[in-house]
Amino acid sequence: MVETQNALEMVVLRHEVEQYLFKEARLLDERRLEEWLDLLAEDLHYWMPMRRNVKFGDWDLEFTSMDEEINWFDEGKDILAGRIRQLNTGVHWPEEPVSRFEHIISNVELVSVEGDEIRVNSKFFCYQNRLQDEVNQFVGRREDLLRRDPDTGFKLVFRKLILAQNVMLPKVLNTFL
Amino acid sequence: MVAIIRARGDRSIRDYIDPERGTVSRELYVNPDIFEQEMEQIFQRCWLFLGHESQIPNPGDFIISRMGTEEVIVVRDRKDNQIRAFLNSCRHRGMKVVRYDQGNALIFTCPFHAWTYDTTGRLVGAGFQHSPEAYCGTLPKEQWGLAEVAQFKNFYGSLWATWDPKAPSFEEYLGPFTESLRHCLQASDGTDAGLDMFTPFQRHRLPTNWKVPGFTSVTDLTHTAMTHRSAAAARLHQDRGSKGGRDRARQATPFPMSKYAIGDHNLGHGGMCTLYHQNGVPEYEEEWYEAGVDDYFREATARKAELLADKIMAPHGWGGGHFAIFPSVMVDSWRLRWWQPHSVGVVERWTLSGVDKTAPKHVRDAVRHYSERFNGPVGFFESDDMENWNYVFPASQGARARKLDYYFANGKGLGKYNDRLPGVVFNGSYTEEAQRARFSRWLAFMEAASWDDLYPVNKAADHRIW
Amino acid sequence: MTEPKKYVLSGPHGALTFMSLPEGTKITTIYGGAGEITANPGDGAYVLVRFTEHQDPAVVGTEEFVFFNEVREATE
Ligand code: FES
Ligand SMILES: [Fe+2]
Repeated sequence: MVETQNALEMVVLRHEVEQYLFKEARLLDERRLEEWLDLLAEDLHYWMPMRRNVKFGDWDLEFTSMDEEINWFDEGKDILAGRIRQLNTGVHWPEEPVSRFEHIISNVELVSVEGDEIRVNSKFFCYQNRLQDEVNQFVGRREDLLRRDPDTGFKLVFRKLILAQNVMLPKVLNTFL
Repeated sequence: MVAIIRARGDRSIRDYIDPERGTVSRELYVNPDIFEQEMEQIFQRCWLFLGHESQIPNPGDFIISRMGTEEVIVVRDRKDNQIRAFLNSCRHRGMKVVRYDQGNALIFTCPFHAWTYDTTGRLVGAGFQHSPEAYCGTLPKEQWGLAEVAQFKNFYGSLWATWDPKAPSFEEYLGPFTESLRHCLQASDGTDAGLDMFTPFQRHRLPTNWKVPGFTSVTDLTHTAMTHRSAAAARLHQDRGSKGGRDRARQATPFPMSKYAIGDHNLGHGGMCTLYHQNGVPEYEEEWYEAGVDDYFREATARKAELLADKIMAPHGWGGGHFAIFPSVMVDSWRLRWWQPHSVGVVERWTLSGVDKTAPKHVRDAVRHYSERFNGPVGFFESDDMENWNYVFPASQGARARKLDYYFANGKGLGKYNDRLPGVVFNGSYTEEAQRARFSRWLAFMEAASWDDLYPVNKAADHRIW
Repeated sequence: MTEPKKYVLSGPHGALTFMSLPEGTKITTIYGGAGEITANPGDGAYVLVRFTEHQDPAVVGTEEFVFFNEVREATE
């Protein structure tokens, strides 16, 4: 709950945040990866922990630790930029021919506003269809930190991706979530 | 010699490989009967990799690992601190006893009828064991412990097991690769058992036959230029070794060493190999993207050079090269990657990456990040491999396609034995020698009635077919 | 003197309570055994009990895992 703002301001902010998140998804689906990269802050931390099967109540053990353990992603904008360079070589075989991705973003929830920084949660459903019949689905939640930006509205500063997988079932994860 | 498989045209299994032409029938990769036979004849007999002791440092710590298609509980006992491995299948009616990926346990209790086992696998309780309307105290608990592996080995921190009591010792199983594996488990300063492995296992599925990556990767230099062209083209400066090339060129007197593809046809192990021709270690080459990391490794390498001042370093894979332990473990000097078959067309890839136990935080982080961005389904490099390894399977499986053979003859007949690793065939580094060695050993396992027919239990056995 | 606390081991919180019974908890069993918890594996199924009374005299003085539905009472 955000109480520092009046209700109308919150509706407007929520709308702006949603537009940013939806645009981000659309740029990925339209393969405008460099434009997507422009939406990210220089100091971005992009993190997707692995998830363990743990005993009831041991929830602190469920996600792999950002500092000590192996994660699916734990990197900054420089590494993401490298991934995009690779995707744009035309010879990155798991994306050549390219996939049909559809990122669906929902359940957008403002968590807090502090100065320029907004915490926002959302859910993603990413459908991947490629070649004739290869289908992969990536479903999960995100916990984002956005920063207001004069050019792009916001920039993504931190993203925790909570993917609903234990063993990664798709052979490759070659999009951004 | 026992011909086991009678599938499609009644060819005995040996007929699926043509050593003269250097070919292997695709049938061996797509036939479910062959797969079942492999699970019985290979994965029940071989030494398989389970994990690393650093994953379970405390008494009662356990992880779930796999041996072929089956899960095992790897647990450090509370009393004697020994690590043991048990099939994750309740002795009562076969329920999967442990469904957590890791944890710390006093006992393992089956969620079905509550048979419960201690960390030595003993059955120590069962629901209603004392009930006068049930067992009446007659359950012979001492006979119904969890099925334990027949042999277990902690080799410099790496954990291995076999289901076969007749299997040779782990060192005999490794043969000339014993020192190479030991070397890869050392810290970068040459300290034995010097690695901490990052938890947890990185695991992902790949729809293909396990032999596609298991017998090909790490011994397949001709794939790199094409498969990984995107990584090279994108100039991923975050790659280790991208600085190294420049450094190497600057070296006034390059360290004398030679590179090969090698294969031990009797044991099945092999891959890339560097033979060092001089005591000590090559000069450290800068290769890290993250600041300060090269400084750490340069110092560690200097200490290692002192340690090896009067000694030639054990042969091992170099840089981007690696060797494999039969049937499907790929070894680098900081990482183990292995293939767990699930079914004829599905395999799971597991990775454990390590770092020097004594490495400072910034080095640990750099190694971990490197491992994250290069390995597995999100890895710069390995995502390329996955695509090729995947679509080999559907394109080889059809009624027409499976009647064709795969070509394995690159460099066939050009290999030579070398005293440095007795029994091992040395060949050009871009040849398929290691893959052929894997198939020599594969055939031996598939034909053998027991370990008595197999090298090195049978010292006279000669499994080389090509 | 206050009554020692009796743990409620049935109902929706029963399993979680059983999982966290501390060492030293006094246990009686439906077979007439009595003893004290020496370890709780936290699996909701068993507690390890050192017996002072047991239907099998050989067990007295030793430890045995006791299944939750064999516990008659658990008291502080
Ligand atoms: S199957 Fe495990 S107790 Fe019955
Ligand atoms: Fe590769």
